[in-house]
Amino acid sequence: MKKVEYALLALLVILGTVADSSAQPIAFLRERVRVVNMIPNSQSNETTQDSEPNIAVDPQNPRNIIGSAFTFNPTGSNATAPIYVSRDAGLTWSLVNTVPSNNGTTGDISVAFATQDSALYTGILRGGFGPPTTPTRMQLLRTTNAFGAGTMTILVTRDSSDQPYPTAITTGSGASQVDRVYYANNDLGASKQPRTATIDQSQNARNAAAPAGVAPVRIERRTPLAQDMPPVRVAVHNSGRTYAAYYQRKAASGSFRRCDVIVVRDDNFGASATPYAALTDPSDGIAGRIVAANIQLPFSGSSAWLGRNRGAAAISIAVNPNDNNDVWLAFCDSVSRVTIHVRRSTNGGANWSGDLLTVNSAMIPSLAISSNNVVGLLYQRLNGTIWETHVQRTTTGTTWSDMILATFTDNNPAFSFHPYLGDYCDMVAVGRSFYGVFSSGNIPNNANFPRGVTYQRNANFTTLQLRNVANTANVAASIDPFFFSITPGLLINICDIIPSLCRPIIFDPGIIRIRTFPDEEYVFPGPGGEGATALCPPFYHLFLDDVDPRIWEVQIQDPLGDAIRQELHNTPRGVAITFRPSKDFFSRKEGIGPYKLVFAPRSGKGDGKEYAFRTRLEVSDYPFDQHLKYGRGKQ
Amino acid sequence: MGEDIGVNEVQSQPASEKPESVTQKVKESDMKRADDDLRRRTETASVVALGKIISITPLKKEQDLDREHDPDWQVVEFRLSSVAKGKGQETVRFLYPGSRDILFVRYPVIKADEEWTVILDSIKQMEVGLVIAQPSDIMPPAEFKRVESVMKK
Repeated sequence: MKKVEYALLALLVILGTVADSSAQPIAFLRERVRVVNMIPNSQSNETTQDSEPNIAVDPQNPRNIIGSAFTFNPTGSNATAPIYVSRDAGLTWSLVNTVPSNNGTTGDISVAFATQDSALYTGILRGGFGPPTTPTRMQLLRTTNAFGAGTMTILVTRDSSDQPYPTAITTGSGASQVDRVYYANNDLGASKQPRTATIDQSQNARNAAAPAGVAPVRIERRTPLAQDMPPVRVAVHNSGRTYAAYYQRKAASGSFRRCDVIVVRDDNFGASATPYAALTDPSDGIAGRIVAANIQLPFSGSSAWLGRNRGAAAISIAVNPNDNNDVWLAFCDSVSRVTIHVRRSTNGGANWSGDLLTVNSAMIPSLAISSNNVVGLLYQRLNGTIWETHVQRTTTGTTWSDMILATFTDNNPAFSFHPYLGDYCDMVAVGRSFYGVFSSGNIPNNANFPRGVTYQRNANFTTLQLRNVANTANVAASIDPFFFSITPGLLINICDIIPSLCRPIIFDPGIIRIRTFPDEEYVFPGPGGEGATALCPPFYHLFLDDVDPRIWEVQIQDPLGDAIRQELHNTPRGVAITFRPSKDFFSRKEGIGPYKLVFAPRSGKGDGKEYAFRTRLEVSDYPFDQHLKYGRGKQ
Repeated sequence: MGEDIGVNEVQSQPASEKPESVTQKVKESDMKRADDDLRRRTETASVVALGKIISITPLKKEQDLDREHDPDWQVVEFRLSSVAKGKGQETVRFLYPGSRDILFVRYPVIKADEEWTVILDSIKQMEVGLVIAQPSDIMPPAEFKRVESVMKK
């Protein structure tokens, strides 16, 4: 967008006039794709196979991201395993060793943030435990400080369960706010067979002592052959409608299994009197809708199936945050080695479409749905001998866009252990953005990353060689975890709307002086009074009148295009966004920001018309609710 | 590497001593701790020996469960050449995971005719009777002398 158009918009906003629809569009679509090798620079010597990655993005502050993979504790300690942490929207990563272990890594690990107040829930198979001590040792973990150094709290320990996979949602407010947590898993304990598809869940997991209400619920109602298959996945909507998907095993022969693909539903966060029984199948009247019957599924835990990746079942389910009846499912069968199928239900899982998408020679699908109804599908495909990591997106299921994030040759880097890439990879949606992780070859070759890539570890993209920490010798290639984000945006520079917001801010010790709209000066004392701290940004309440939040999604993004921590409030005239400028984006010369104000129609389509919203900025000592009561005098 | 670190005191000495002596004491402390761990480990073991692998054959599975983390047990026939504990046998059979799953990634890959130092536990659940219970229980042959000396301390 040209600068002159910004200026026009600023004028329109300040005056609060409605633009002529024949004028030029005020916004444009710009999508940013970020791909980052997650191995920290300090681990440039590492050559291990960091496969089966997982991701959690803090919905309240999407700059805060946690990743996991089969990564060993870099200190050599066996007592804990690491997670990957990023505080800058995935640009840079470090490791914190906070996962209980007996061998410095895990046998499975996956992570999920609650949707408010940043508690992180993690499911692991504890490293160093296994046969003959125990078949597997599952531990369900929690931390309220995902970035801290403290070892995560163990809520539940149970032997014989496989592939724990957490999902979490926060509901309520104030004293009634709770984290509802769902650790899906396959409980293979002898007494649990054959109905092994299980959700260990709690309706209030954040603060109570272990087990914090976490208790198992069997979601299988039929009688599978000895067991259900390993993956069980949950998708929860803030209305309480909660879906789960799994494969029911019906027959076994060699490396193939005959399975039904089952979706169950509960309409009260899994807390109904008879949980997960809201959907029955017309064929037998039993709870659990059969979405696909008698499919053939490859399963070979200890041998390669697609390239060097083993043939393990994978499944993914996602519910539209704007419509609790709109649910999407991705599952696999072995029509062509492995084929991914995507189907959709628009009536809460009662009826399902046929295949909306099929992808041959592909596995480990992960679905997510953004706040503007875009469905994303992450998967990895073997094209000849080349592994490709794809993200496909759609809004209707009839047309899909396809993006390749990374490629590499199978078995180069060489296989080290199962799984080569993973029994799953992971993608989530926060707002309109997608965030994901996948494992891929780490040879530093720009040709392998069509959308670009950033490495933290030392690498020479000219010689196509990884380099050691001292940058004095080459390092062998291996499988690394890669983060990606896809951020669409109709971007409007907030500095262009309210230029005075971005005027230089003078930081004196203990005092923050802000010269801001409407060109007045305010002084905000830090905690403990004036002079007690060098940096204490105030609350910024940006009122946007005439914005209907049912039609528009609005968001503040930092100068890099990542959403910052913010709160959206409905007001009698529209909405207000509360945010706090960060010291990360302050300079004495430039002031704060420039932050970007994002307007996006929830329909996902721009109509080419111009819109104008009356806006005003109120800076305050107080969060929004208190500001309305006590802080308006500081407008 | 995170925002802070935790430390655990293993030894202390006056600040007046030379830094080199601190390094040496840390090494000695680490070695002593490793030896103590190894001694405790051998005390509960049934067999501690040096020997050569005669054959490796898959164990017939007792149950048909799909576990991504199946150990894929193998039966290892093992000829003993030096025995520190569990004397009286020329050969033993023990279970060893053949899986290359992440849960077993720290077990070395073994082949027939290779020589290894092994620490074996009794296992009642399976007919073979002995098992390598953890990756550190199988070591290069040169480690046998150290194991023997630790057991005699």
